[in-house]
Amino acid sequence: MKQIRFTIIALLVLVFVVTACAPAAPAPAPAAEKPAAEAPAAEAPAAEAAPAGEFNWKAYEGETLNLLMVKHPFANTMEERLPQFKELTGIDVTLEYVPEETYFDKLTTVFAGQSDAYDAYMTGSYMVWQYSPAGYMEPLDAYLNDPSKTPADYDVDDIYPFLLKDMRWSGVDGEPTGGGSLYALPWGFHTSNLIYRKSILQECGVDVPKDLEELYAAGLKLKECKPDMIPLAVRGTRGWATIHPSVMSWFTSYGGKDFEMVDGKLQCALNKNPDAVAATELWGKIIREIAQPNYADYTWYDVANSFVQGQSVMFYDADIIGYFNREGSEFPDDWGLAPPPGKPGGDPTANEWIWAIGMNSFSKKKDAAWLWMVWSTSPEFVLDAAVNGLTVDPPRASTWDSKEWKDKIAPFTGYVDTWKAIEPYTKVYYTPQAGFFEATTEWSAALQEIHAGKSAQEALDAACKRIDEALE
Amino acid sequence: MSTSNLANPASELELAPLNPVSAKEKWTPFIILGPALITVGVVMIPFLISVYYSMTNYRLTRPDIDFVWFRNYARILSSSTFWNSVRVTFTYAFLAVSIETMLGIFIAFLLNTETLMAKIFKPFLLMPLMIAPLISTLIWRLMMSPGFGVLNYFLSFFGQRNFPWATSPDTAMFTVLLVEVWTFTPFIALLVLAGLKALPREPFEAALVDGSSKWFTLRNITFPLLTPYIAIAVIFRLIDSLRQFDIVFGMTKGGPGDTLMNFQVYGYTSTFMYMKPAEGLTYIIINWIIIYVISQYMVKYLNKIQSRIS
Amino acid sequence: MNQTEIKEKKNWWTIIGANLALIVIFAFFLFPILWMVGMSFKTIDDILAWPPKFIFTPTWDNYRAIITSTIEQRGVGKIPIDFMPSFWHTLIISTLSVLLSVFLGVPAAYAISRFKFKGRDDISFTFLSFRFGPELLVIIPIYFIFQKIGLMGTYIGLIWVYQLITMPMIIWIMKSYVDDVPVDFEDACVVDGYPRWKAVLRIVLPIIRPGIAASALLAFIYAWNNFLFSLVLGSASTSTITLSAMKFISAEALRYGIMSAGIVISFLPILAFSVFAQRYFVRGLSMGAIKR
Repeated sequence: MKQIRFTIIALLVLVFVVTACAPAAPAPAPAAEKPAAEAPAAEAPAAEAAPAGEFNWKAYEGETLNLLMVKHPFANTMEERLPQFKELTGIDVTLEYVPEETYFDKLTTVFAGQSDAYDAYMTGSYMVWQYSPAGYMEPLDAYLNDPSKTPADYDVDDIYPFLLKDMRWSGVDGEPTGGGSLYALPWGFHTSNLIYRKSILQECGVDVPKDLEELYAAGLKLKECKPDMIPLAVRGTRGWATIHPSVMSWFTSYGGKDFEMVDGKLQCALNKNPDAVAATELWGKIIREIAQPNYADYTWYDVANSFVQGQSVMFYDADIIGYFNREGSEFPDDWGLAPPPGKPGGDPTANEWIWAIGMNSFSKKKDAAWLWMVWSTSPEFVLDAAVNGLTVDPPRASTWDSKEWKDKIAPFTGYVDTWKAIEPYTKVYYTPQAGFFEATTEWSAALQEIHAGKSAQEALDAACKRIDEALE
Repeated sequence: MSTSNLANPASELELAPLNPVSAKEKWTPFIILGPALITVGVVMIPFLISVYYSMTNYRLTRPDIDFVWFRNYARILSSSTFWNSVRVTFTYAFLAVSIETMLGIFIAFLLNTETLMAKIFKPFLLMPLMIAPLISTLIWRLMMSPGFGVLNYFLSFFGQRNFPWATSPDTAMFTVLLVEVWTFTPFIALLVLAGLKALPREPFEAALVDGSSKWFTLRNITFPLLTPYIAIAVIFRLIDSLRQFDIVFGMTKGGPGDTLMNFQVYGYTSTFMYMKPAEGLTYIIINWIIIYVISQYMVKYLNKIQSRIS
Repeated sequence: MNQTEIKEKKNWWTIIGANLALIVIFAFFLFPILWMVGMSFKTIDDILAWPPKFIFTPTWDNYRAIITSTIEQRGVGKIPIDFMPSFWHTLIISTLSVLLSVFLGVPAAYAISRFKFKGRDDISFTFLSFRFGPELLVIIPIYFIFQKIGLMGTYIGLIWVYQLITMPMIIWIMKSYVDDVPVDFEDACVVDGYPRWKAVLRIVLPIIRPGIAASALLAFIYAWNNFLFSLVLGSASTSTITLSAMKFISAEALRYGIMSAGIVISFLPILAFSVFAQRYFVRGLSMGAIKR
């Protein structure tokens, strides 16, 4: 016992000492409300000062940039084209790759430590709500609107407005995207869709499902017709990534909302709309009866894989999975794409995911980093990366209108038509708030419980309880 | 070597101390120890900082940070998530250590028989441990996939091709324990085997002369002599299984639902994914305290055993 | 030297039973590893085939990709991978960490064992307690501190932090081993006029060498397999193999084959080390007050 006492006393003493000395850097950057005012561009100690008024690609020649990237085809595509960037600007770029599963954990730590180790990074649409309130992400409006920083032919209006809108946020929980500062530039996006094997649906006499009920019925029929195949593959792991490519779409179409403002405070609303809860019950039947037997195991790699390997007949996930894998698959002409099934007769409310690039507000090379960001989202780059690389779906209208892109995706049945059908309804349907990760993870855990037999209302009630607790 | 320990148990175990005679000699132990202590001790200062964080409302998404004393601890101790973690952690640790110990001892005895197979397999005993648990969990998951997993293939002969493994709350614990036992039983087996090889001859010779039965020898001589080795192995495994992260996280990240949310997994999730270090670190510190207390008792027990031997 | 050799009569049944049991048990332990080695020689289609292929045409592609550090990717061309560099980083970091721990830890173990001083038990338990400071507990503050003092992404930073993993194990195992060596030898030398440290060097050290080998091996294995520290505190120039292996599972392809090849390669140093230390190994772990 003497040991315990000794150690506890030592601990307490040291804790007080440490507290008194205000340790390392617990308080992240000040000014959470950094309006879209002047970005502290003066901070960038460039080798040569930016020439006033005129845009110059070579303004930061000789500089080196460090980028944090997800191990992802977008990053690979960009890396392949880095020599062009070097030629254009004279800037050297070093990349660090992190496996996608742990990427945001690493990014979070980088930010929390106010590190300037990386100048720019990949980020996702929803992460803006986590990272911007604390001032980790540099607001980009000042750079965008400054003609000396952004080339004249950048054509920001060519970028789909709904994508840019979703990269803007005011920083206040509950307020929709679109207000406030711009925090990232879209690199590529994907929508939520249903992809299927045309020939198998034909063979089994199944029409392309238009809503959730038809999806369920189709699945049952497919199960009988092809007992060795999985009728529908979906994501199921315990994490935020399970919700956005499928669940959020149909949930929204039934009128479901994730959060509601009640007396000025955000409250979890997953369990509040009876239609949405009933839909969740139906989804429960779907994942129990027609989805992969090891539901909770599937990440999006597994979803893609099961389809490509000919094990599943349909999957409800991102359209770009089709794009990445169709040509290399054994049945490139057998892929079909359709809008995300939701409420019968409802709108195809496709939830979207955007991979984007952002600037580290602690970076000391912001202007140079901006050059890289501008280059890798420029019209030429986007077109080239989409047609010759893997950066899809391209965020620019000009790319979608181009002949090269149209030729590229023509063989993919339904790709263009579906996009046209869902374009007006494609957006981020989540309610922006800083607890995004936690809320969606709890939601995915609730779905796992539903899969195991719990009723939808019960599981969603429990999830909401935990989410509300966490919001305090 | 020396037989003095049998004749003089007490003195041996007082570890023949060197009584410091001069001031210089008094400091010698600390001088020798010093660098080691400092090197590691300094790394522990962050530990104290973490303790500090656990007493704040630190969120990675808010710039302000307030000291809230023990509010986090109080809140957590009354939340169902916490008690679920307690249940999961202790179930896991208890089952893991029991199974590994029994299996490990059994394997050690088998390897000790020096039969042909024993000689062949002994060098490969530690292999499961040589792969990072995170990766070996991944390999197991590949083997357990209904789509192409070889284990499911074997099970399909029993009609169980779609055995849920870690995707069902009923079988998830079994699945992670399977990987845990696979990875760490060799550790115990090795320590016990070392013990078996190091046992003194005299008691056994005496027993043979006395004509004792094999069982008698086993129960009353072998096992008591082995106990210190077993105890050390158990201590290490207990400590490690109470703070197991890699296997559980790698398998399901704590799911399905909350079935496998032990302390470490929840601590990691809360700190990095939910960006709430205040909460996450509190969990991990509570975990640390639990391990601390349990180890205290185990080490005392170990010392008691060692003094009872011979 | 042990109870088995003493027994003259060996029961046939015991032998057969023991052999059978061992076969079953080691089938369990070795099967996943053999399966993984198999995967490293399979194409991705073979890996994902059903029924699983026990007989297949092996390919060297996976190993070739790792060693030449490039992979072909449709649509993008050749992409570089960083597995081999990680391999060297991990080797260097783990080896140096263990060396440092041995260098500092063995004397520490000696001191704890031999000297009776106030707080000895406390300090000894403190070393053990470092082991239950889970990495997660210290990772965030260490991250901040490393930031400030510039140790982020450096070898030194990681080696230092790894001491948390390697040192306690070495000290605790070595302490028991030193306990086993009777003080008489050193005392005798001192009486004869030799300085104590010479006695330690020439007599004690050779005796405890097996213990050092054994504990070093265990510590090396744990350092080699570490993941969290290198994820958070490392950078591209110090990434470790565990991290690199995980990068093979990504959006465009599930490169299980290459990943398996990488793991097999990373397996080899440990295997080599362990075979080398094997001779010392079992003897080295005899601890406690029991004597041969």
